[in-house]
Amino acid sequence: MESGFSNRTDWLAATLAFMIWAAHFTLAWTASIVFPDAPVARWIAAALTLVSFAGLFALWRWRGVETAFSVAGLGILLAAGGVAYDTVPALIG
Amino acid sequence: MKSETGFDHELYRLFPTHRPRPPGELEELEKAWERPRGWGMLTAVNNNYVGFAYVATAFLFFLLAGVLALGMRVQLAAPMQEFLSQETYNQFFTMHGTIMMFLFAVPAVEALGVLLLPQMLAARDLPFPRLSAYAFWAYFVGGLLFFASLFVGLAPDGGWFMYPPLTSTAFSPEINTDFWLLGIGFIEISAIAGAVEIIVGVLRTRAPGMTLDRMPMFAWAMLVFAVMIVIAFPSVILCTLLLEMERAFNWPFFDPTRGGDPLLWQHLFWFFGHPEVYIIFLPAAGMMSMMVATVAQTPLVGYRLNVLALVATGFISFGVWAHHMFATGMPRVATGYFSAASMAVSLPAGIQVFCWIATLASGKIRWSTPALFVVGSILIFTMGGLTGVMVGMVPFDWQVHDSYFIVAHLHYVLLGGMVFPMFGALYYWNGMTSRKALSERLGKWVFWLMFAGLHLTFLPMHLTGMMGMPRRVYTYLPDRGFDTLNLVSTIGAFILALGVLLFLVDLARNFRFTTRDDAGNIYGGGTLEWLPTGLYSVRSIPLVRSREPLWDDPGLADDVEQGRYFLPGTATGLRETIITSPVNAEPQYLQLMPGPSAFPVGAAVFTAFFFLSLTVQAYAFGVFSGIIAAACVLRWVWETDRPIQQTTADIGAGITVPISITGPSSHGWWALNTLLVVMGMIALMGVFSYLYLYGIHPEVWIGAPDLLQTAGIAALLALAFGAAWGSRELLAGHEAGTFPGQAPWMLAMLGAALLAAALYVDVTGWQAAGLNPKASGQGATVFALLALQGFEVVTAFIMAAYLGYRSGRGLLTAPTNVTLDVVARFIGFVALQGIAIALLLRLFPG
Repeated sequence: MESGFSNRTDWLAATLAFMIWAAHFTLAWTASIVFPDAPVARWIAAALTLVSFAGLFALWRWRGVETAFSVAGLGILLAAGGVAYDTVPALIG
Repeated sequence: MKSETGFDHELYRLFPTHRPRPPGELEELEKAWERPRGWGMLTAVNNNYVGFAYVATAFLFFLLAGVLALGMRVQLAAPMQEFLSQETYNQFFTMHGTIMMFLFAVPAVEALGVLLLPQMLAARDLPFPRLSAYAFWAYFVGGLLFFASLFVGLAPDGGWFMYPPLTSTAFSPEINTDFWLLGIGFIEISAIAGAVEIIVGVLRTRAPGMTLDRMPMFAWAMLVFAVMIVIAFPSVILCTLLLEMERAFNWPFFDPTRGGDPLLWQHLFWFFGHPEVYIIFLPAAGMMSMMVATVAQTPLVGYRLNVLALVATGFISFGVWAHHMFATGMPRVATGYFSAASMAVSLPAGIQVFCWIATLASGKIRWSTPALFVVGSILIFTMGGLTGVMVGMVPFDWQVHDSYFIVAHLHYVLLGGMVFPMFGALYYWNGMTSRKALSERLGKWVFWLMFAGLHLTFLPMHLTGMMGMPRRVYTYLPDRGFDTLNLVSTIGAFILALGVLLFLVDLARNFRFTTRDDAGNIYGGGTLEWLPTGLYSVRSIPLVRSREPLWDDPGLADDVEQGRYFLPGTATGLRETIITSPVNAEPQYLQLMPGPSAFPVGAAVFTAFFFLSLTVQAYAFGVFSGIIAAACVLRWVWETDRPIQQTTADIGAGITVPISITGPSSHGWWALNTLLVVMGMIALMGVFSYLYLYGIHPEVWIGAPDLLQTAGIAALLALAFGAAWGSRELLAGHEAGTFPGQAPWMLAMLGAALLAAALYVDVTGWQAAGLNPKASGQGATVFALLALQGFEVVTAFIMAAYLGYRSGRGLLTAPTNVTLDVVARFIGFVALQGIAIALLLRLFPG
């Protein structure tokens, strides 16, 4: 496991990635209770997902992440997975 | 490695040093860290003593809550039993849950942090030893008084999560509920005090060279744990305050007939309550990661992945709170979000479990007692985690909600995720504090009894729950299929208790507390807590070059003991430790640390009295206790900002660093910022309450006062911010060593006065607009937020007056001063928060 792992650690990038996930979750949930069971809540969630992906991509570029097998890379990928997973209820819920 | 602070890493080559140490150096170090004798021991602040007492007290509460559990199991052993009355049973399950969650689980891991972290990080002590002592004593005194409510029949009886309307005055008119609401107040304060200590300790007192990437897993876990406390606990502080205000003043936060909503409580409580599970689990996971490596005698597999999993868990756990509310009829999509997050959070937990399994598989396991607890814990926690994923699915949750299935699930998670690792840790680390090791033979019996008892107790509960037995019932009818399963659970509970009893026997036979001649590294761990220690922690603070320094450098212990590393003596003759940079742990400055003091004890005792006086409505004594507590706090911090003649110190090998600094590099700056985050989170949750109630009952909302008044409030608060900032600038304008006169503190006091003026205009403005806190949810939340602002304004006044007193005694040193820095930044924060709150309340919804 460790051998293929980039030795460059970037805990800040990983933490920021999870903050993007947290912001996506909070805003999507807020939309879902402000507009309960209305289509607009789903559209907002979809738009937030695109914005979050863009934010994560920008974070990847800004921090100069070289590989997914690094602290920053895995953090960003995990956060992206979380964002995608959290969007599923908006699409099919 | 790139330098973080400008420190030259080439200097690390100077260690270990080779010159002989001067005679008397060790004796001087021992004298500086000497503990008080006799009754003076109560004033000790060394982490060895405070940490040990903290762990022992937490364990005492574990035993007390366990006895309550046995009482409940006897009552449920057969149908229609009359061992406990219905009222007493309600008090038992409420106290069992409350004590386990608030008085055992969180304090126990904080206690282990206080005990282990300084040695693990090779710091002399945590950065605020008096704060640790305060946190312990507030918990000890308050906890025992809280528990005593059971003996007078006044113990809380509304369940550990105290849902209104059951706990409103209409259904719970007695003071039992108030005991809970105010009784846990001191526990919240204690937990937050501990969290501030741990965050600053982990980030700023690590041994030189211990970069974040070389930090022990337990330290990482404690860091995430403490940050989670800072974010989560304000929510429970706020909701307990709101419910107490509703009960005491009839402000209808949770009364739907006046624009409140009982579900607001559930949101606020579970925003704390579910992360609380991870707050408990993560430090235990940190212990597991360390024990697993030692048990397998190989470095932890996937260290960085494990850290990433800890951080990810910390974040995602804040997105799962409403899965406790699936049965309340939330909007469908919102429910889906929480269901998704509840399943997602199992991924990082799974990563950790696989890392542990891989480590065990890649090493050679020595089947010691800690090894048994580690493996047992993985199994139990995984079982609890799987049922957690099941109840994360909404339709399944609806079927088993509030049934014994949930009781089984949460006990598997908490026992596997915290109690078993904790017992493993008690065996693993007892060599640090005891002259004799605990018995391996008895330890294995303890494990097997607890392991068997746990499954016998809780496995059948999955079935009783699925068969429809609701939780929190004091009895049940015969012939419903519950009889045998409940009897098995009761037998299992006693077997589990027998295991704990055997552990007590082991303690009595073998545990002998010591701070110097300890049993040592019994299981062959590789991290720094196994260096030889005294009351001063390690003789010299080592340079860390790897994650398991003792495995990688067998000569390290001897070099450290011979004083060949940093700070081999005391550079000033006082207690001190090296403050290092947060990422790379480069030496920055020498912190002078306070010694023994009775004031933290006094402050803690009167804090507990303050809350309990309010509970029994002895308001005069409550005010008296509050004043004494505040006076004790001010007196204890009086000595912590003392100017000394010496401005720099040699910390070894000729490396010189400054003594005590201010600004963003100082540890005090980090501590205050952490505290401001806590206060900001309380306000944020208050704002959430305001917006939430508007969303539910917009019809009770009235118009805000006019815009001109709002602009006036914002202007006053902006001036307050300017005055606070100006006081710092004024001090900075003076030459070092000169007395700046009285102007800086007077400017800070002006800032506090402007805060008060803005608050006055705000309150009277809302009153003139016709807003009444008793009339509607809007009135209640607006005045609650103004009350919060009022509390902070009063605090700002006290701080400014304290600053003035210090200035009058000539203790305001130019060009920077820690006390002035703290006071000015606090006033600035209150001003900015006041602007944000005033604008939101007055402009939204308009």
